[in-house]
Amino acid sequence: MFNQDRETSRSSANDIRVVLADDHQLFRQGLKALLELERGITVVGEASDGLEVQRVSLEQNANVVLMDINMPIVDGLSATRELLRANSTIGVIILSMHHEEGHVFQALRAGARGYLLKTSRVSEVAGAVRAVASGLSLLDPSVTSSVVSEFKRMSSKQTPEDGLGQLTETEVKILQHVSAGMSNKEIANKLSLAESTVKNRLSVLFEKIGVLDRTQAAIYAITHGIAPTAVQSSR
Amino acid sequence: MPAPHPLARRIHDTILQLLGTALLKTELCEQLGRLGREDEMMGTLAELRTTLEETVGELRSIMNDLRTVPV
Repeated sequence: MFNQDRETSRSSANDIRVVLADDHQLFRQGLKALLELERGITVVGEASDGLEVQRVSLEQNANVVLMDINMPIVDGLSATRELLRANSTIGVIILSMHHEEGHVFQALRAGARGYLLKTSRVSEVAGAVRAVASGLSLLDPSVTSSVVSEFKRMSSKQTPEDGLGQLTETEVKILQHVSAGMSNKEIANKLSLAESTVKNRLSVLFEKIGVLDRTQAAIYAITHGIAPTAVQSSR
Repeated sequence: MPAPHPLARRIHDTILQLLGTALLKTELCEQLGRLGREDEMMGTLAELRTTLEETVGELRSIMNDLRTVPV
């Protein structure tokens, strides 16, 4: 849909700096041409493999990376992990043809803050770029149902008194940071705690909300509205 | 996760990528049309046709590989 956010290219210093990572050149070209019509978004780099995207994103000081999963040399999930290890402030959105829930969970586990299908309209991709750049998370509506199903499966193992109400203020903050893909060390720095304290608190937190790992905790945070999440309106 | 069937991988890596590109090009045509950039729109339409022709070629190639040898 043509809207006020879409107009002819006019980049500015305040634009969201985006890097495109996909080994299909024609796809990158088409996506770049469309994103360049979006106000406030500038494509500052492109990469055709999972190693190149790390270099380009850091060199170009990217805010958001649109990352394919299947790429040569290093796949998009490993590239996401490595990139966020180097700079955790970059928002990674997986843009893939894979709609299987396994890929979605792997992407979230790697630290991606968004997951969209390549069949999305560019207005939706641009919306995701803006959301992730402002610190939100976003999932394609067609994969959100898998995440919700996983949450229901996890919830069914819990008693009502377990979970959110049992969390302390610090534990909620830790959960929010986990859902943003931060490591224990980063959380410790952020909250002025020892890394070992964060680790111990996480163990208690996992037990309280009935999850086994960080991925499930992130899903819990998203589905409970603890993590700042924007879910796209249905197409 | 289990490794995908070679055919599923091939369809993902060729057909779906080409169709994803074709979808982008249709959207680009819409936007260029709205902006009155007709020359660019015509060029993008030609690219769209090429992409769809490549998709047909890939599908034919897959069908050919799947064809069983007559007994």
